[in-house]
Amino acid sequence: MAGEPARAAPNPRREVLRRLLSRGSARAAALVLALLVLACLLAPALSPWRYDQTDLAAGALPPSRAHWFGTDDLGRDLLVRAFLGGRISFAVATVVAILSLAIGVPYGAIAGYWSGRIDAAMMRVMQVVQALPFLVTVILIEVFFARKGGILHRAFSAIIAPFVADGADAGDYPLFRVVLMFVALGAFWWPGMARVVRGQVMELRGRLFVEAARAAGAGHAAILLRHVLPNAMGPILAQATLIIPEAMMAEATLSFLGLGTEEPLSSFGLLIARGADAMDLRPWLLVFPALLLVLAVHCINVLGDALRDALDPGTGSAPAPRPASGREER
Amino acid sequence: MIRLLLKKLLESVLLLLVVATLVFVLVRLLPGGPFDRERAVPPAVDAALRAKYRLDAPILGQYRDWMVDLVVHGNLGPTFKYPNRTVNEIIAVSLPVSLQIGSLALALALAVGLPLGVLGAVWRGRPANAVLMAAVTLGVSIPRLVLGPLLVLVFALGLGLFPVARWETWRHAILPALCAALPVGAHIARLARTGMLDVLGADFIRTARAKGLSERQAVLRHALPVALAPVVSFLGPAASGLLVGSVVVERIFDLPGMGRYFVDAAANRDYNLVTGVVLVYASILVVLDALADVARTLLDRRTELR
Repeated sequence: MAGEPARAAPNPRREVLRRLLSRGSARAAALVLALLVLACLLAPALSPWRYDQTDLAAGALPPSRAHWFGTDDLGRDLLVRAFLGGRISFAVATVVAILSLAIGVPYGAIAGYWSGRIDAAMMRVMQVVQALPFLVTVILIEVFFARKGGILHRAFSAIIAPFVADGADAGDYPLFRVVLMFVALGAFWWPGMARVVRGQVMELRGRLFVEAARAAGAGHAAILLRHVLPNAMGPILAQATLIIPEAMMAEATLSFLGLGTEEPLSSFGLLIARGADAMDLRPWLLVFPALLLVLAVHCINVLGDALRDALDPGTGSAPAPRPASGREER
Repeated sequence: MIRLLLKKLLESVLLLLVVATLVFVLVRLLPGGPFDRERAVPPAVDAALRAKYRLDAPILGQYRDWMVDLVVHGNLGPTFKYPNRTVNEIIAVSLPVSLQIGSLALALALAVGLPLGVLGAVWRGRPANAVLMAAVTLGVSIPRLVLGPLLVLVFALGLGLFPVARWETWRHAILPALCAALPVGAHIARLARTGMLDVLGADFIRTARAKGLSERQAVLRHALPVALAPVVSFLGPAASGLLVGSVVVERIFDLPGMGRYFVDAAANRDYNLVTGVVLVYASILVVLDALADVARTLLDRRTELR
């Protein structure tokens, strides 16, 4: 297309999408991911079993026609529990990506745009946050926000008040733990995002089109929002695609350690933890959730790689496969 | 160079002080105390316990005592959960286990990840490479909580090659180290490949080829040191995570490492132990990050030590 100046420039967004889908592995990953999400949304509703419906007399049964994935020690259908867990995994990953964007983008933009002393101070704060170990940070934040009567607890209570029995405390509901996890994980990933945004803003700040906008009388906010940030969308998006699979694995890790999702809700990590306890006798309890988690994360990673390539076709390689958090704790 | 290193050192010490202070204050802000149990403790007992560990003093006083103890004697204080043991003793017993597994895992990850990454770049376009890179992406996508049980299922329960868990002989270290190493190795391979691809197109590599160096020499002697920069910056944080121990690996293989205290201490509100393990982690991280900075400048003369 480059050799035909007569043709109108292709819509950049459509161009990225075209490059993305031109890859077979990306198409396959997108398809599998779509099916997985669909199954997570529909399976719990379509199945005749409920996620917390126990059958103690039957106990753990291997996969059969009635229970495709088998049942757990309490006789609960594993398929429904696995896909319900998938819902929570996908929800956590999405919310964490959004939260890290909401905190990281303004933080990084401000630091990168003003530079100097403000930047130095903001970078110091980030250094301290990044020097704390993952689990300690998450536990401290969770406990801090779990406080009865705290902001998060009050907001959560207000939202679910119509659905719970009078006098019941919203904080005792397992769903509250999931909300806590959103906050704690979101608070953990924003520095990585802020670093990327800061670097981009610092680079773009001195460009000619920014100078032109300034000369035309645009204010700081307009320059940042209209001229600098839109041009940094590629790397920001690329970073977000790195955060999503990592957040998914982190959710599983937390639940595996008993710090995340709690019974009777389920999540991949929780199911894997239970399955690992009895893997020699009832391997299906470990194999199915483990397979689903790896499949979901793998598809997102393949898509993320392809998206980063599509955003930056020059190198033909993913520009930043560095772990989004910069840390290893899985 | 020396002045810059000194500056880095000073910054690191300041950072550690801030981290110590922050955690010291944060854990005390949390609801619940170290002596809360399922059954309420009689108020008199609670008061006596608090007095014994000087928790009844004003927080500034506690902070001053604790800081003086730490800086002058290198003493991190008593723990609340494990009577008669100090934080130093707990770390002295558990950290070596984590260090052994962590360094083994780190060596494994580098030994597998680096060659894979370099080959992935050099063999670009070959069908073998597509398979290789698919395997590496899969390696990034398998979390340790899946990998660990699978390794046990196959190598311990199935083939009987290694023991299932516990910490006794060298054979007990193999599976945990593998489990800890694989995700890091896969990340290293991806980073090395990207770095290599970027460098292979650079002018100085063309020059190296033009002056008649073999492809092997051009890649290994000229491209590799520069291409390693992203790997080196990743290694600082990754290695510190490995060296202090992964909670997940320790739980799967029932190891007496330090990783579990990150969870247990925070959950028990064991104030001194939390602060202690965080400080150990942060110190290793800060030292390795500084080393990584130095290594990057040595590898690639185009970057400057900031």
